[in-house]
Amino acid sequence: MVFQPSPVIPSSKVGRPVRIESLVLPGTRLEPRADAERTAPVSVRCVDVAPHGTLLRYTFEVTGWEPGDHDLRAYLVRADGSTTADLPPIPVSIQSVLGAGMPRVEAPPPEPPHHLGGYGQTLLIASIAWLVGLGLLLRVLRRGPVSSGPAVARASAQDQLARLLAKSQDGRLDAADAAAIERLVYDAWRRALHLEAAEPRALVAALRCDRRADAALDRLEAWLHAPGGLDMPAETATFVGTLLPPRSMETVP
Amino acid sequence: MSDSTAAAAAIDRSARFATAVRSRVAEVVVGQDEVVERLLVALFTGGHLLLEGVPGLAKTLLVSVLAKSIDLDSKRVQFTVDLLPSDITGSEILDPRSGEFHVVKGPAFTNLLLADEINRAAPKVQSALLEAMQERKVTIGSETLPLPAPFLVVATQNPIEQSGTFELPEAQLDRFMLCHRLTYPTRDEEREVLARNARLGVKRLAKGAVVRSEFDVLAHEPVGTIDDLVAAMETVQEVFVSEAFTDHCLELVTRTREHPALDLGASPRAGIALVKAARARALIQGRHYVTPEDLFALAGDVLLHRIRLSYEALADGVTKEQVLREVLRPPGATLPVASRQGRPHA
Repeated sequence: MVFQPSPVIPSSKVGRPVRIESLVLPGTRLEPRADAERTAPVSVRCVDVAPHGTLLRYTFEVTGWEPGDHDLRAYLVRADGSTTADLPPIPVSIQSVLGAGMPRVEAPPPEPPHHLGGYGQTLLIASIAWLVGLGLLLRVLRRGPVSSGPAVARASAQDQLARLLAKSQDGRLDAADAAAIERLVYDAWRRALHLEAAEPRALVAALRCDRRADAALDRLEAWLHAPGGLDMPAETATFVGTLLPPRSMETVP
Repeated sequence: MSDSTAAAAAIDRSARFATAVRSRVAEVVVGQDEVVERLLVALFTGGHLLLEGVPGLAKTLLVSVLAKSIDLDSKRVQFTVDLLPSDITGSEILDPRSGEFHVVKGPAFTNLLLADEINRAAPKVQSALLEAMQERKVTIGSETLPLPAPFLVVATQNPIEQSGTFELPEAQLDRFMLCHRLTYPTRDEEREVLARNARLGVKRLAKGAVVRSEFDVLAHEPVGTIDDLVAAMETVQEVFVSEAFTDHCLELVTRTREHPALDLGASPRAGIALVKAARARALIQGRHYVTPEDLFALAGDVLLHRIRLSYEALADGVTKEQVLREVLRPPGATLPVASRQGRPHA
């Protein structure tokens, strides 16, 4: 029996399957060509195969994905791997479901690939920043109070005191200045007698136990706190010397 | 006699009066000279005193001997949870014979009132007493009666046993001019206490005898009178306060308001109390002017009960005493300063 192609070409719409039944084809058994990437414009499924004399009778189900005329020979292979050159044309017509002039759905434009490993990079940068910050903090904390030499401290206290006493001689000493003088003197003696850690009350008692500090504080109190004391201007140069600890007692602040 | 000579004489007289009172108290009470000084400060300035300390530190004896030394009337009230305001101030009582109400004055009508364990009474009783302290008068029924002059309240509270007590709020604590924390006597002082107690002996009565207590050895002759006290109160007003001292007080009070570990700093009343107390202390020491030494001595008693630590400072174990040490420290100090978190900064 010789294959006779059907005068009617099977047709369908895009995406809608169409059956081609009782198709007698020569040669060994045919099967659909593998299309792993799904790029073929038509998909072919072999629904039934039956002997037809010395030939085989096939029922195919064809689904078209691209509109146009297609030849199924391109999508069939022999199961035993032999050639399909002896096959007659097997035409299929697929029509588009879209009206004329309708835009086609296109795939989105390709995007640059996302950067992989962003979290790890961020973590690394944050860790480095944290370590640098910690190092700076430890450095600042270890630095401690800025210490100047004893001579500088003495000069500073003496300068401040002299400046304030000069204001007194000009009659410009106010309450805050007077209080500042007293704090300066207390602080200088506190350092000189190594009483930095003393409780405030114990500090006063300890200062009073030292003959020189006691005398200095007496002079200071008589000048700052006794009635009329501030009316007696002190000679700056000599008075500063009597209020502050002597140079032999200087210590690092 | 010139004004200055008269003032010096008045100060000398008041200082001698204070010394006599302290000596008389020391005859009975061992090692509480600082408390006696604070009591005199309160008496001379018309303030009130809160004593914090555990039981058995001779608080009642102290007040009794002080009252007897100056010939003052004194009463003691043990505050309990069921005490009523009328138990302090007095009440009106119906006389069934005349059918009229008569005012019966409460123990508040005295010169020296010892309010023992004030935090055990309900808040309304505390308020009644604190109002009387502030206004120095009491209203009973429709009658308003002035309290005797001088009027000094010495209240006590136990800082350890807090169960079943009503803590005095800051606003009421502020009414106490001073809050002094009593400490245990030193070993030598306590040895002297034991020795004196061992010598007390037994007091014979008409029918029987009782073991004598320290209250039995109080001398009945006062060393001063209310007139001496009034003179001392007047002389305190003559004690000179320099502008520098005022600045120190302002600085101190301001530092408490700015300290990061404190939620509540010292009130303006604290500054007033500081200056008043310093003047009285200067007088007791025989000085006619105040000095920073008075400030250092009194700052704790004036300020500590008026400041409140923040929650963070409490959680970090910072104490009010630490904060006070910092605010009293002269500028330029290099010791650690408690931060809000209570951790020391270099």
